[in-house]
Amino acid sequence: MTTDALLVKRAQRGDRNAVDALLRENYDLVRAVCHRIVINSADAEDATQIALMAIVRALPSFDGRAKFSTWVYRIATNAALDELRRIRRRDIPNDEMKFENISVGDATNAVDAQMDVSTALAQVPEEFRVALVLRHIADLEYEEIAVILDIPVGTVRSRLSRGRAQLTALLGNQGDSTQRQNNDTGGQQ
Amino acid sequence: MSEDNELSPEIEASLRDIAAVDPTLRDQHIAAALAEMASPAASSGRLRFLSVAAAVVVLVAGGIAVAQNSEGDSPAIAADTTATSVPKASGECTRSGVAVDFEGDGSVSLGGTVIELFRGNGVLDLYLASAPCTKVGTIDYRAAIDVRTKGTGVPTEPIECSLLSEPIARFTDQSNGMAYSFAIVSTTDGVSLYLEDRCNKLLGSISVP
Repeated sequence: MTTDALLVKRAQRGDRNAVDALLRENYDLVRAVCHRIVINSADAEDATQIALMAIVRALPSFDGRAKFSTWVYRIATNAALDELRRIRRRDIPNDEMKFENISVGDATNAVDAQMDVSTALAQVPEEFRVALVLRHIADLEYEEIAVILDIPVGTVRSRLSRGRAQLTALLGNQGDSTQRQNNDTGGQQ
Repeated sequence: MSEDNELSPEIEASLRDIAAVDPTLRDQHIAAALAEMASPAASSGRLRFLSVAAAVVVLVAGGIAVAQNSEGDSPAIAADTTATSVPKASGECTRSGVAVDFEGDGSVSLGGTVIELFRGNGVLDLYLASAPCTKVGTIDYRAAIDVRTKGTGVPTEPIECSLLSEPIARFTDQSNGMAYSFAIVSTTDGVSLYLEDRCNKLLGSISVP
């Protein structure tokens, strides 16, 4: 049994230190998933909090069929998507509203406006954005993403392909350019 | 599985580059999450109790629905809910499912009748605690969590919602690997079940005779 598996077992038996350790171990990635899906920073922090609470509540029911990290991402993704729905219901504009009318074809103008990756990501449709986050931040395999989102692997592939194309178009070709300014930078990870 | 058509390393690095968290905020997040473990009764951050007006509307609607259901065969509660109140005698104290733990001292009495709750396979059953442990009613919540799992038809009502009183019990169930928390509150004549983060979404009620 791996160290993580032992930690999960201890946590499931109610060992507070083990739960604390698991939360800290997964905190940065849970938060990253929430930030990149929700976009708005304050709402993303709310989603992070909700995700952590949901993880603790659901720990006893984790059955080990999936990897623990995959299970955690699933909860984080769910919390982030719930947060997006709440934002829409509240009808409070979030960061993505500022650029919602910019199409992929307008990417050059948007880049000229110093578009950072958060702003660009906000313009990628939610279903593509979630797939991008799970693949490129959570490092999940296509099959794992398919399970989390309850969609076929082919749909994952399609969403990723379209999401990458849109994001790349919005940000321009970064492979041969200088590092693009990223308003989110803070040195973490 | 390896896939081609990946993002450029620069864009991928930007995606991963999230503003550093304030350690104090991180500790607060973790402490709040740990509090869920220490105190199952702790409410989630968005749960609002004792805002009576909204709750009364919900409970009155639920009560009317249950009353109608007991008088006729037509479905009494909104489309994605199922509530039945079908007394069914069982000759012995056998119950199926997992016992739902009550808050407080672990038992609940409604109008002098001690009850027990069991869940399993997406349904919640209410039994009388004393022999022959009659099953009083069932709430089937599978449709509600299926909707959530698939992300379609998500309720549009505001999330800021209210329950008339502190839940008498909570439990967590899973669908397709996603965990959902439920709250059970007592009503004037029984119990009602809610999704905890959609506490104005009545999933069903059971009346205790």
